[in-house]
Amino acid sequence: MRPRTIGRLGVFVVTVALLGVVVVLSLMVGRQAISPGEVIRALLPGATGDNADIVRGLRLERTVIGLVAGLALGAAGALMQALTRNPLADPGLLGVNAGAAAAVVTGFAFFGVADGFAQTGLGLAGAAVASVVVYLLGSGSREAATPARLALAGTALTAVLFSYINAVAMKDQASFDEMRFWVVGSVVNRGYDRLLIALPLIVVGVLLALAMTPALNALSLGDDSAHALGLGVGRARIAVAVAITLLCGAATAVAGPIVFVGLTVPHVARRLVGADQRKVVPLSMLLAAGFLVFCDTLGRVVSGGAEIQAGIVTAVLGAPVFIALVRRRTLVAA
Amino acid sequence: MNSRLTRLAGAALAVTVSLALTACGGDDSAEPAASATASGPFEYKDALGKDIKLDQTPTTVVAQSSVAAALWDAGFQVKGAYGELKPDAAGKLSYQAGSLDLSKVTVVGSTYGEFDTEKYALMNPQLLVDYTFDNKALWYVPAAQSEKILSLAPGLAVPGNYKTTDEAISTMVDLAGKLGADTKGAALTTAKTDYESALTAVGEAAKTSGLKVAIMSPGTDSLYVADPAQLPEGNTLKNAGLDVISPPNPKNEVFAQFSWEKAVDFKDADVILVDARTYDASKADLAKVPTWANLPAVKAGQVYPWYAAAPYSYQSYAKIYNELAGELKSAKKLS
Repeated sequence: MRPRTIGRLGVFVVTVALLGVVVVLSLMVGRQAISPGEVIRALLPGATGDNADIVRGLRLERTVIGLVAGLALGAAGALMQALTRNPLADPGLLGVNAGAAAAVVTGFAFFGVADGFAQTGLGLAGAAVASVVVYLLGSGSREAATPARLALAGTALTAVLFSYINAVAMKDQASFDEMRFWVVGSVVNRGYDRLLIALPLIVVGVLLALAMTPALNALSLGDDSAHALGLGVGRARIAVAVAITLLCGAATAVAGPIVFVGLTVPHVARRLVGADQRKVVPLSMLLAAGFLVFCDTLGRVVSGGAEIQAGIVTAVLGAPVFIALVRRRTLVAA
Repeated sequence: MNSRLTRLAGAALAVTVSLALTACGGDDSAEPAASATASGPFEYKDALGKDIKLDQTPTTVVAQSSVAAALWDAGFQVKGAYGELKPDAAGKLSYQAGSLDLSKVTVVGSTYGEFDTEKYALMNPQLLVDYTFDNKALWYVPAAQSEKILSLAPGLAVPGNYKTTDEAISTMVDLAGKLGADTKGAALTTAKTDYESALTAVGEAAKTSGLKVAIMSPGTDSLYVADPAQLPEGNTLKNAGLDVISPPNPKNEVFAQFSWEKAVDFKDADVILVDARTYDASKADLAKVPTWANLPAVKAGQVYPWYAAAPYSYQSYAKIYNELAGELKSAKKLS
């Protein structure tokens, strides 16, 4: 027992260290070659000039936004997989991201809502409505909402909503640039003001997520066993669903729809620390934050001239990792 | 039976509407004369290499809004148009619609991707005119509907891109003439003189100030910088003596896409012309991008509209170049 515990603690230590490395890389690496010394000078208070604009203005902001959005998505993914007892569950898969994006796009295209505060609200509302719709579709008959039915309902709703988003984005030339962001997520120039609006929601979501991890452990034994253990199954489900909606809605309002982070990262976390949600959820947060920042950094330098949005890089990197995990058949059940 | 009834009803409605429109149109002596007198035959080798031959010169012509506006200024009035024709909150049309008079034109689509095939069919169109940018497809004709649309009337493609605005405008004037417009009249000659004097004004302002100008389309995720060599107005302005910056390592594309980190490489621009189609929508977000906000031209407030996809007519470009000459005169050399 003892060495295993140390091993798990070690996993967290290594993850935090890696996260630090990723953050440093994100500040150091970009389209403009700036030496490490100059990067540090640019970060000092009072620094001005091109390097300060680039390092403090662009790189630091996208790093912070990547960290927060990644953390929220990682937590939401882990919660969702545990809640639905479905290893394929993902906020993207269950329509939550698409719901948030569709609501913001609707507000922007038809009612001219461009204000960050209103957009965050719309994102949350969209996420909530999409979760409810998926849940209703998934439990449409006499049977309860099984993981498979939920995943099918979510996939169908996501497909519908993304066709809608694409259609709206294509229709309005003047706002096409703004809309494109709601098709592929990105952490570039999102603005701290937007982040500040979403931050309280993410904090509440994270606290709720961490508080619910023991209940999730009980739920993983099946509803009957959980009930026998004295857990209010319905209430626990609702609390977790609220946390997922807060986290996904807020993350999507800040960074747009980012896929495969919430799906892939919890699998990696479970391989590292086992099925105990008290460890899986926080580790997923750390890993996802690092993963998103890393993907954003990679997107800056891999292509010839332009940058590639973080939302594309996460899909390119996340999908094969996920396929490899599935193919090895050692998918740790949530 | 039912569908025929619907179609009849639709046709009746269309006739009524067009009668009403004609009635509203009235007599406006400032408008170029409509060209119903032309006979034919009509022949045109278009940008897709297609030979278009019609026994009669078409009178019911439907065109993409920028093309329609260019033909309109050149003296040929289209009967229908599609493209960017959605009025803004104040009821004004985009500059891309030029001086098109919508009370005389049937609108069959008012934004990208919108084309009402039924309404188009009911007009009994004889010719459709649009740009082609890829030498394959017509710009604003939705791909999914193009087969149906092109079966109703031949589609004539004019090139989307040109070496200079002179060349672009001549192409439009030539087409308007082939469609029966009087292109030798006084109105067009005056417009051409205005256009040329506007360019001279730009050249003089450029010479006295020595300003460096960049043409950009800034988005929140990337900065797009236009290569003047790929833009008709870029070449025309350079020929007039304006110093227009080229992005490094141009790749024969109109726009080079840059990371926002690279924006600091464009600090030598004294004046920035920004894409007028998208700038207003993104202005507030751009103000928060430090490498944009700290560009000398942005700080000095020397950011002016670049009227991308404006109609290629002497009238529209005389206005655009005159406006630019005025801006260049008031702008200061920053570096």
